[in-house]
Amino acid sequence: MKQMKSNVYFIIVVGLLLASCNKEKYLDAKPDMGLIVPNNLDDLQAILDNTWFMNGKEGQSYPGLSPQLGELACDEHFTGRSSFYTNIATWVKKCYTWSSEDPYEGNTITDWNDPYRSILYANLVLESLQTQENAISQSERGLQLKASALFYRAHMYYQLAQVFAKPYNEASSTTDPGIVLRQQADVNEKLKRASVQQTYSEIIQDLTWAAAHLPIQPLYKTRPSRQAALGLLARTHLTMGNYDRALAYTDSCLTLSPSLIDYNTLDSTSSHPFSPFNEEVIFSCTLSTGNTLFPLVDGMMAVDSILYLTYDNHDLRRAIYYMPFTDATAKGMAYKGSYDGSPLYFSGVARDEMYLIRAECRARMGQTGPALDDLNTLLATRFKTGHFVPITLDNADQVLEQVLAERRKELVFRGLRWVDLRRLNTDPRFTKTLVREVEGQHYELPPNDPRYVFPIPSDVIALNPEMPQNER
Amino acid sequence: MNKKYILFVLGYLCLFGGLYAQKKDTLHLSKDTIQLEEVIVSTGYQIIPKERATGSFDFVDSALFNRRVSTNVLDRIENLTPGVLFDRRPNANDALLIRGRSTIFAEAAPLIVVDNFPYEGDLSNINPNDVSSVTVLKDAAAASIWGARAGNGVIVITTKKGRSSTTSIQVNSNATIQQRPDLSRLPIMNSGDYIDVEEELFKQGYYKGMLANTTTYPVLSPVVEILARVGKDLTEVQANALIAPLRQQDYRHDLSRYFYQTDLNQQHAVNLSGRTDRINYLISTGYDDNKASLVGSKQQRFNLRSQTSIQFNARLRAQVGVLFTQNTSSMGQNDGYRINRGSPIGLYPYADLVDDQGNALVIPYLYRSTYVDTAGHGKLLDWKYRPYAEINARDYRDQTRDMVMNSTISYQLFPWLSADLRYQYEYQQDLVTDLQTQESFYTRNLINKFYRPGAANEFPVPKGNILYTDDDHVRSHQGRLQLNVQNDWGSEHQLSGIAGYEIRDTRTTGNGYTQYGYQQDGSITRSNMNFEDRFPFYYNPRNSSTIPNSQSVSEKLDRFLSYYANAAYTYAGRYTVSASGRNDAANLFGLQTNQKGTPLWSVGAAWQLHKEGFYSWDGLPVLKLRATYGHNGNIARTSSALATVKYRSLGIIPENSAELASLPNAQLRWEKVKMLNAAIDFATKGSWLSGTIEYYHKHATDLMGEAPLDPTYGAAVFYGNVADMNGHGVDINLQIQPTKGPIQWTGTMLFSYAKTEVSKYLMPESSGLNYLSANLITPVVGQPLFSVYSFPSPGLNTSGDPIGYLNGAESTNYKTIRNTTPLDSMKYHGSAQPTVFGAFMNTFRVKNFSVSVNISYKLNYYFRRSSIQYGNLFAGWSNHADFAKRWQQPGDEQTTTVPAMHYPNPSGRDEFYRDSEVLVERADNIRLEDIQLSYNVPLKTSALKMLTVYAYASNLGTLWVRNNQHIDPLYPDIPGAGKSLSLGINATF
Repeated sequence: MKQMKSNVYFIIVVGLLLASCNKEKYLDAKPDMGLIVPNNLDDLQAILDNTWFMNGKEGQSYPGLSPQLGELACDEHFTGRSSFYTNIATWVKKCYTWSSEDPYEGNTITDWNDPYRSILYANLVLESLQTQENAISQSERGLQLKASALFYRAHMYYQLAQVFAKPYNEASSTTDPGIVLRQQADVNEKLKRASVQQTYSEIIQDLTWAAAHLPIQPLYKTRPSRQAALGLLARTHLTMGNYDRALAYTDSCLTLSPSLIDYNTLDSTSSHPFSPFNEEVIFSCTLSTGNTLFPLVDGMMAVDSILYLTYDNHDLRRAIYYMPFTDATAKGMAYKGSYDGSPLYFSGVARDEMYLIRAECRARMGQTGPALDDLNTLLATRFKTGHFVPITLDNADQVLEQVLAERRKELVFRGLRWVDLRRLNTDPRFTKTLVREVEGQHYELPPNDPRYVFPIPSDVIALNPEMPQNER
Repeated sequence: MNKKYILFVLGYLCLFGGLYAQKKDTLHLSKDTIQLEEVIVSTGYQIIPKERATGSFDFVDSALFNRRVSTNVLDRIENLTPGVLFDRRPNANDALLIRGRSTIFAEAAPLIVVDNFPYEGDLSNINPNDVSSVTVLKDAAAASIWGARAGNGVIVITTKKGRSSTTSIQVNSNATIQQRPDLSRLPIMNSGDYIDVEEELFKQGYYKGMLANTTTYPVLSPVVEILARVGKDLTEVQANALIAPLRQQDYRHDLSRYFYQTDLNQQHAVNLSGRTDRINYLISTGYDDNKASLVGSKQQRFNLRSQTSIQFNARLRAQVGVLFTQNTSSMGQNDGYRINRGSPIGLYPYADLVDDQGNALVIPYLYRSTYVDTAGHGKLLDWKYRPYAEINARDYRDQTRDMVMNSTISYQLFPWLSADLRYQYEYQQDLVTDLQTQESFYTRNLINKFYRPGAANEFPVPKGNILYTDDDHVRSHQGRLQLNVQNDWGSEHQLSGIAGYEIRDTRTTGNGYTQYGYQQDGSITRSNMNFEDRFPFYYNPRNSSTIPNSQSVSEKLDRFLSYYANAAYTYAGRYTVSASGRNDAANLFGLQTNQKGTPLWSVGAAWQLHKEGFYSWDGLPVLKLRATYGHNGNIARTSSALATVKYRSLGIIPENSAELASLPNAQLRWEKVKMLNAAIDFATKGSWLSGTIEYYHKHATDLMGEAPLDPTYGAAVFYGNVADMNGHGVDINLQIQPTKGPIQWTGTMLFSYAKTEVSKYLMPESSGLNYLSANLITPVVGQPLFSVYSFPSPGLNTSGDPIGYLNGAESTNYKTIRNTTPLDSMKYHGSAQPTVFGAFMNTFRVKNFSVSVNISYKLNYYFRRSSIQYGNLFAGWSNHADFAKRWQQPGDEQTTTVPAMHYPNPSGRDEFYRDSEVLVERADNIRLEDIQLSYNVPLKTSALKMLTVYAYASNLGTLWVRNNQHIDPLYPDIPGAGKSLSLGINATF
């Protein structure tokens, strides 16, 4: 009996010892204090402030961010000099001439990789916020960081969808493959393509939440703001053909701040007339260069000559956007470079785009007067003082045509032309067959061609054999 | 009687080199009639009779362990157990491996356990005189109880406990002398040849630029300085007269005489042990004093240990142990044969280091002698470099204090069930102080370099000493609760098992800092040092730098929670089955790994065939078959389960920005080593031959490595559990004891074959160039991790240039060959680590006198030898004896592979030659490891129970090497360690 009793004591004591350990907390300790495991809001802000990876801002030749394949394949430019064309990589030529084969030839496609790195950073911040105590994650700063991360992620989802997924078509959107909606930071997450419907729903859902929690005025234009979220929502809805929603969002966006730059104040003789983070920029981001678009700056490729001819002689944009090539043998006019005062092409959200979206939506909804008001407000800042004659039209179709023409002239080299080609192809009034004449060869890209969707990079398909590839 | 006989056989069988043990044990039997203990091996969790073990254990008993004289514990098991490979080459990839390497980037060394817990301190703290035995756990069944840390095998060191029935005092004392290394084996050029080269270069105008350089004052050798004076204050004849004696000079004489000394090591140990009714105790102390062969280097170690066991009653027992060690090593600025590692690297062979009166002489260093002679107009400290005086100008000390306290409470719950509660605390402080006195060139140079004449602060680096201090602390708590089951039902069934729970917490902190103007009394002359601004160099004000300020802070924390169990069941003394399992959770692993709890496990079986009724082979009275299979783990500290970032400023916005340094990996887990082991234990009639033959196959999976990652995850390369390795091998241990005549001969033959290769690695192969460095880990599927590759080359062409191949055709376009040769066009030689190795030890005994000789062999591996690099010879002072064998005239290509000297040196040729086939040699060698003599002095007094005197000789050199150059692969380009001889006594009172 005595032995039994002492055995019981022994077991109780040991049992208590074991129970007193909090296993989870014990093992949560950081193994090396030299490692910075991002776990406070300053660390998370610093991750999002990585302007190379989140905005594609220049620095030590960092090559931009948002996909440029669409820009490469659109009708804004041509090769101004044949000697340049012979020297560019075959895979770039294949993209440029809409080759129906897999154009990438095993090359690293930064158009896909870099946006997904940006998405990883955003997910990292979102996951880290989830592990924070409520007092921190629900603080104003915590909520703003979450909204920022959602914005960055939604922006990249949007940009990827314009190149690697079919144009939004409500009827087939639930079956059309969209992009991979990475939602975790962990590298063990199973990857699959969402539908186009899911892709756009996710973008809208994230941006809507972000718009409600982002600060109205950002400290830097590399950081998202409420205006940026509203602007991107407007663009997304326009891309989907939801003109009423797009109109509502541009209204909210421009209400926060409607100001434009008077181009008369810019130095049109300068090779870089725009300053970084200029007044019209709402959110700063750049197009990836992927070794292909940079030559435009070097005077290698020229702005489409028909497009150039559409600018009025008094239109300041002629001289602010373009200049003659430094190389006398090259044909055409060169695009000076970025709207954002950087050698990389702007692909962010800007206020001029908001005026044009609102004008288009109003025109499509029959509000011709307000549509023209928007157009004239914008154009008044683009013409030499005293030379602007406001446009007066009363046919809604004509107004829409005029708005789209002005849209093309204003939003050059921002990756938006490709998006416009894809969506306007569905309207018989605006379809266009793209044509290229290169090295004696004739190439065509008819409307709604499958080549309006770029293939998923082959290394991604190789690692995910079950992932559907885009037809070409 | 019968029972005793069986025990005797078992004891004999399982002890390697068992003669001593056997003798001792028989003595015990006859003298004290104490029940002979079975051979028991320790896993660190339990002790197992080897007879009933299914796994692969190697046991080194006290006698064998003490055969060798050494300061360190692990040295003493070298060449005593099969499958354990020591690689003592200074640049060895793995100094110690059990059964080949089974990891790519993680730790490959075995886990070292002292008594019950992994040893967290510096292993050199342990005094071998405190060790009673060593068990090596090689296969899954033996090691798997250590779970996630067992993948590389485990070495369990068991310390001495108080056992003897009466109070006993043991004394062991020895002294070792070791010859200084033979510097004549240092492959340097003949001084005459060297001076010829300098004269030739001078004629070619090679030094013109340097002689005219008054910006950085590049250093020039004495011969060049003399040649530069010709036509100024010297005639050619006078110059030649100055140079002529230098041709006879050889710095190795001074180096050997003044920088090296005869090594003298002393080791003394005393222990006192005894037993009363309830208390067992042991108190031991040890003192080691080593004077190393490099002048100024020494080591002292002091150990104090006590181990007490108290039996409170029949059920409750407690043990308390304390170990204190103080280990101090110190050295001066003496790089020995690697003298002059500054700029230029190497030393001209005619350097004169010490004059006939023993005074330190100047050699040019960093700046031209003519500059430092006059620089500073008397305001500067002496700026000359005297290597011999440097030895005492620096005082580098590494002092380790280690304290281990352990306690165990054992409670017998039932006759068949007991419980142990163990706790161990260890605290180690490692304090490094590196004092560069004001007399050292390092300090004088810094003070002078930053001198700013006329400035308010003339000396940004203050006069006085510079002290660097690094203070590291390791604190570890380890606790374990374990239940032990031991039950026999009748004579047929035997069950033993353990189950336990373990917790471990090890915190390592480090703090390093530099103090300038440090005074020996502990004060500093300047506390407000400016480490921020750049200061111009006195000799070249256009260049500047900040003042060096070494600082470091680190803190690491390892936490483990583990559950484990194992059991072995023996039926009828013939059949044993065993199983074990362990689950580890750690703060190093990812969340999912900790939650999922994938256990590491093993199963095994043993069959004592000779005990079967039907077994009737008289010639082989002992025959046991064993087989095990299981999974062990290995922890990679090189990755993190959590995302980590590093900060950087990008300059676009005025805010910090962070970049991801490692991807989050919630599935980060231990590496896994799956091992199959099959073995036969046998003994012939009369036991003239007995032994163990083991075969194993292992497959290591989930190894850390790089792999291309789907870029959709946000990165193109991923470092995680992605690679595999395969290995297999054979371990054989044979004992030969043919006769029992007046001269007893025992032979122990160890043979190991271990081959491991990478079986899965996902990164694409890069160009051949990346597979040449011995220090870079570049895995190739199908080959050993450390392999030797080279550029194919048949030798020299008729103009003395090495021939290479470019796209299959002979070529001397070295740059293109180097940059474009793909891996499959490189020559693959083989493993850089021995794949066949072992030892053959012979012991002869006549009465009280015994001699044993151990011969080791390491076979089937390759190394790259060094040779002349003309670019380095021209640009600096590094040189090579192969110069004498160089191609000099057409026809020489038939007899030499050393390229001709061309001026200017053809670009890329040195590098091609260095990495070409002709410099790769086989490293196979057979070595006379050591000889031991001992004599048991016959005693008449009863106070002195035993007295043994012994002598031990080691570092006796090679008996055979496979390469034609007669290079000892252990010391390929360096002087080998000198022969050493020890004398000692061992007495028991």
